[in-house]
Amino acid sequence: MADEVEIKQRHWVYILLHWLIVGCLVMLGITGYYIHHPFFHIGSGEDNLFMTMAWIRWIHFVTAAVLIESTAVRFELAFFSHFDADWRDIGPSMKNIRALPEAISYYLFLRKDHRYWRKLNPVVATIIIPVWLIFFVIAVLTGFSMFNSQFFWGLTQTSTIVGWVPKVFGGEENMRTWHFYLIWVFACTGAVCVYLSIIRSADERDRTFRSIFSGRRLVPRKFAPIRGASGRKKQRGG
Amino acid sequence: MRMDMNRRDFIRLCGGTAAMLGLSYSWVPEIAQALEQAAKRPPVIWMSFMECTGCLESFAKSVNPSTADIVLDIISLNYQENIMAAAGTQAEADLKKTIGQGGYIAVIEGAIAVGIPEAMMVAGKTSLELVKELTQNAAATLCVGTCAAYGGVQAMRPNPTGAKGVKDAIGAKTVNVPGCPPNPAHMLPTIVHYLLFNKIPDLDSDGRPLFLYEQKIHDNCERRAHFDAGRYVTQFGSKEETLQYCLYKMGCKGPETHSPCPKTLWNNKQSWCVKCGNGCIGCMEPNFWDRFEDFYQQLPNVPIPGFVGVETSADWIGSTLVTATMAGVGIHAVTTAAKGRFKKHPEEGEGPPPAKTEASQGSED
Repeated sequence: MADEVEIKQRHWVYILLHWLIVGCLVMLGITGYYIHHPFFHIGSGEDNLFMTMAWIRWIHFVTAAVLIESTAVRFELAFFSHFDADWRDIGPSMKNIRALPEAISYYLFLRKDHRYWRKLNPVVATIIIPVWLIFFVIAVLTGFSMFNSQFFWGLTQTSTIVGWVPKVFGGEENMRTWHFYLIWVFACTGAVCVYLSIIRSADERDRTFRSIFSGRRLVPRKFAPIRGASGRKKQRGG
Repeated sequence: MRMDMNRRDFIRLCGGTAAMLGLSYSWVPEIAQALEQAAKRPPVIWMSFMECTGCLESFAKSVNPSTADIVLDIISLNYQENIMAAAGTQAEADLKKTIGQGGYIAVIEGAIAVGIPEAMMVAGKTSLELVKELTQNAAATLCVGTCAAYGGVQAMRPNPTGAKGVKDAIGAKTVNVPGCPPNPAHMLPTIVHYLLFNKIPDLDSDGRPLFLYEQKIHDNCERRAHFDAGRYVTQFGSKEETLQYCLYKMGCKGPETHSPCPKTLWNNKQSWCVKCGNGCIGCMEPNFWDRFEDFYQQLPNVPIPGFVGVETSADWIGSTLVTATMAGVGIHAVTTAAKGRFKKHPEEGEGPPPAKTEASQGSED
């Protein structure tokens, strides 16, 4: 294409972390729903010794730990990465906040085009990502509070560092309900996020959706990175 | 110290109390000594307010030690309206004298009427006035039962009398031994802890002794193995119930309730609620009447904002949210298609449409 070039826009570390986080969320959703509503168990009869719920809960806890770790790494890299500190592209930065009205107008068919978005569209970056982070914090706090274990030097015991959490939610059962809601919140926002990416790809033919697998997408030539005299990549535009 | 129990029973009592307090067996002599010193018998005033006397009934069912041993030999129960021998002027004089001397243990049963103080009056004084008098010189205040600790059934919505637990009503520091009714096996170790260490035990954020109420029922339940294996009762009267499977799906509140019931058991260590085939209703938790209703649902229903009195399940809210999102996405997709955004651009394969290129004026910063 004359005015667009295909560039490697997503580092493989970000692609890996993205799919790790998505996998964890899906796994947490499935196992969490099972813990809420145990709709099957493996084996039958009293002599069956397979601990279905115990294994599901174990998977839930391990997956939660992986999610926390990978989210923390992604968060750190977004700000301090040497290869692509992209918090301005994926978070509620001033750039995205300024572009939000235009993006909403674009998705509501009030305008046909929009300015160049490097990674996430401003709707996801300024609304869905902050919502995810807020609910992520809620999920971690309520999860640890329910976990109530002696692990982590006793920090997750109800009576110690997260003992205040059930009070905030009006009791442990309400906290449990909120923790359960998170499945639906992540399902809804995740579906919206994927959908917006798909229609953007379909409309603009810029391979946005494909880029979350390959890391490569089409960008206007004037925004493609160039190599400076030092040999390091520089970003064009703005 | 003369007790109506032999030495072996007394040492067994001390050993059991040590276990309950989380102490090693080497503490038994100290516990025995504390109980011996208690033969000097710390004065106790037990006063009842808005309650059903179930707490006292439960206390009276104590077997080892028996209620008589506790009342006659371990403590000096100077005032308890139901079981004291004295009556009328003499009883009131004893009460006044004990309060005047101070250093007593105040045991409170029942909620305090704060919203309508006149709802509960004795001899012209409201429950609020009486409880303030009672606690002013007390060495420790022990709230037995969920009513005294958190308001109980009297404080259930709509709470017409404005009933509150003692701590909320007067702001005093209390040791709560909740339950509806409380277990006598929880009351005695709490008193012995005070006698042994001369201080109230460490408490959780709801004022309960940590050595008793730190763990959840679910973690010590005898049916926990069935929970882990995914074997649940789904209907009362079913084969699964006969096999004593887990009551999680029948709304058991064990996962949310902090109590040592599965370990201490009830009625002289004979049984407890889950062993009887009924799920835990969470009676050791604050405001459990409101929080845990319906007792046979896994999670409580939640109110719908803007619709007073309308409550529904988390499942319904969640699935409705997803359905609405999917409907929104579907409508948007159809509209997108109708607007022609999915169609191939004429310049497809030769470059992006000119309009797009011109529109791409924004910068990354």
